[in-house]
Amino acid sequence: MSGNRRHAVTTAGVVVVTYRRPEYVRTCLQHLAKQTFEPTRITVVDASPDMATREVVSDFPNVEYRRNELGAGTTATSRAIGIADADEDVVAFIDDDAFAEPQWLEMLLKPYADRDVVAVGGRAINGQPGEADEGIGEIGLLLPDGRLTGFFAADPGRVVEVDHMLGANMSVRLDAVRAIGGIRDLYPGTCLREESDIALRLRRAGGRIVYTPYAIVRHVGGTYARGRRFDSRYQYFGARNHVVLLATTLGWRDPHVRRYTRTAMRSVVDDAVGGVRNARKRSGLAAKASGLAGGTRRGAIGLIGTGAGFIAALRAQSRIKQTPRAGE
Amino acid sequence: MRLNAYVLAGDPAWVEQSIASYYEHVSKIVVSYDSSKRSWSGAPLSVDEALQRISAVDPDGKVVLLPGDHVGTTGEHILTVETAQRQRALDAASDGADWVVQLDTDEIVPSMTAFLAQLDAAAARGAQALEYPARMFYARTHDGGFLEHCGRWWTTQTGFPGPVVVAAGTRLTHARQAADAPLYRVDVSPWNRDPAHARGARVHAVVPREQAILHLSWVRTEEQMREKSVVSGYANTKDWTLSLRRWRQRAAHPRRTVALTPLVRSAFDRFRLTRLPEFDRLDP
Repeated sequence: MSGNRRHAVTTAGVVVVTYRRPEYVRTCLQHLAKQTFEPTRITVVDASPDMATREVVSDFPNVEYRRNELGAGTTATSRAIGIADADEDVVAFIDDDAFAEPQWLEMLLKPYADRDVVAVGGRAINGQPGEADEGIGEIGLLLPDGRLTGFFAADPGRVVEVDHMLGANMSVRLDAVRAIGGIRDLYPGTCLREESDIALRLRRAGGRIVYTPYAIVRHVGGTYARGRRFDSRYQYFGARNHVVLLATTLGWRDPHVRRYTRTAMRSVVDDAVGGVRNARKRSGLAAKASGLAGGTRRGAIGLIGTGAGFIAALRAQSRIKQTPRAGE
Repeated sequence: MRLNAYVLAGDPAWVEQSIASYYEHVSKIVVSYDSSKRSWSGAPLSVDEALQRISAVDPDGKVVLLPGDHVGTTGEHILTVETAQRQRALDAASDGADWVVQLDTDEIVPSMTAFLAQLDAAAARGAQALEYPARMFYARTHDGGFLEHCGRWWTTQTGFPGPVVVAAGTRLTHARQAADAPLYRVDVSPWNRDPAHARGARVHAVVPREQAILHLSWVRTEEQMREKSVVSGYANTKDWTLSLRRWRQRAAHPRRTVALTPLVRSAFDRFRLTRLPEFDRLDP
């Protein structure tokens, strides 16, 4: 591979984490087989209760199959299993429903020529209109109020600095991840924020993270293990896991934690006020009640999720102190 | 990072202090003005005084004069004329630059170090325009203090008339605003402090309020205010007789004005008293 000679990084592995999506895994692996930079190894980590994915992987002789017996809601554990005995310079993570363009890995590795770069995120095209232009200038930021921005489909036309990455398309320098204690799994349910955990800890350790719009995957969005995107469960774990993320990666004394608490409370109030406004706008008692209930429900879920996040963060910190981390 | 600037000459108030605040960090300052020394609406403008003052703060010969025809025709909206003048100046300033500062001549940067650090951050994030907070000053009081626009409970409030730095070659869409340029927005708080923006508007970075731009918009002499009422881009959208009367009253009775702030409905008519020691001995 000519690409291997051009980069400071000479070895790279790819980890695909999956749960009950065998056909997506097949397509994902077919795309990985066409890479212009050949990975040293490709590992599929499967948390499914059945063996369907194992059968698919057996069709790809150079792909390693590993099990995560903890099942759904343990994506970070799957990542940790994927890098457990890896010795490559860099490991790239790709979702099972993300299909890489042929130059994906080659482009993902280029920014590592700068030794300060410890992680590189790539672009995930979702097929939404205008997504290439939306959010340029604010891709992958940890905002001062504690929220995170996404916009990982944006194309700023060059490599830009970010605070975190999209788990569907990201890579890390292995020695940097080991230096911060490996990958840990504190994000149950929808697993929201588990990928940001790695990024924020790397940033806190002084590492530089960049986003390259040239490392492209087509993110088709497979079915969820449970529920739908943006349903109540998604909202609850979003609120819960975000508090865990900030408190355990940045520490309780970091201003982002305090600010996010205020931001979350503002959001609860805004949801409730939005519900009242919705009720006013609608005609008919049932419609008014539905509008009011929608806003109140969103606010309540946010409040409960944030509260649960604080409790979970305290427990998580206790666990972090007591047990060795996954991936160490 | 190569930095140029442009200014519109016609408003002499605070022009020396404004240009001096960033002078050493730019390579070239394009000074745009109307050749007939009139405003966008055709009213006489203090171009000569402004040019004289600008010349006095240009020891290194960075100023490049750019005269042009910037009086609007009948029926043409003033802001359209303003945008065209700014675009011409910006195009000229873009030559040889990566970024162009577009501060008005009554806007002063207290800390260029902080300002440039945020510009670096904006560039690293892929933005093409930097919005930086401005504290808006309304009037000077008899004891040398200032009436500053603020929130209902005298909290710091900021204003964003548009990005104050844009990438060279940016296309302006409305006065200083560039709708197509990705923005990086700095404020003095993690939560938006500009009543003209949506409550939940994202803030990308925070600077201490002492580092916010000082926009001495209405801190002027009576004569300068009279001229502003005629030549301003908002000349036709305000009752200037009423606005000037209120301006005089508020400056004459600052304590009463400040005390009434929590009761005032309009977010743009709330004031607090502020001291700016560095301006104690300066006149607009």
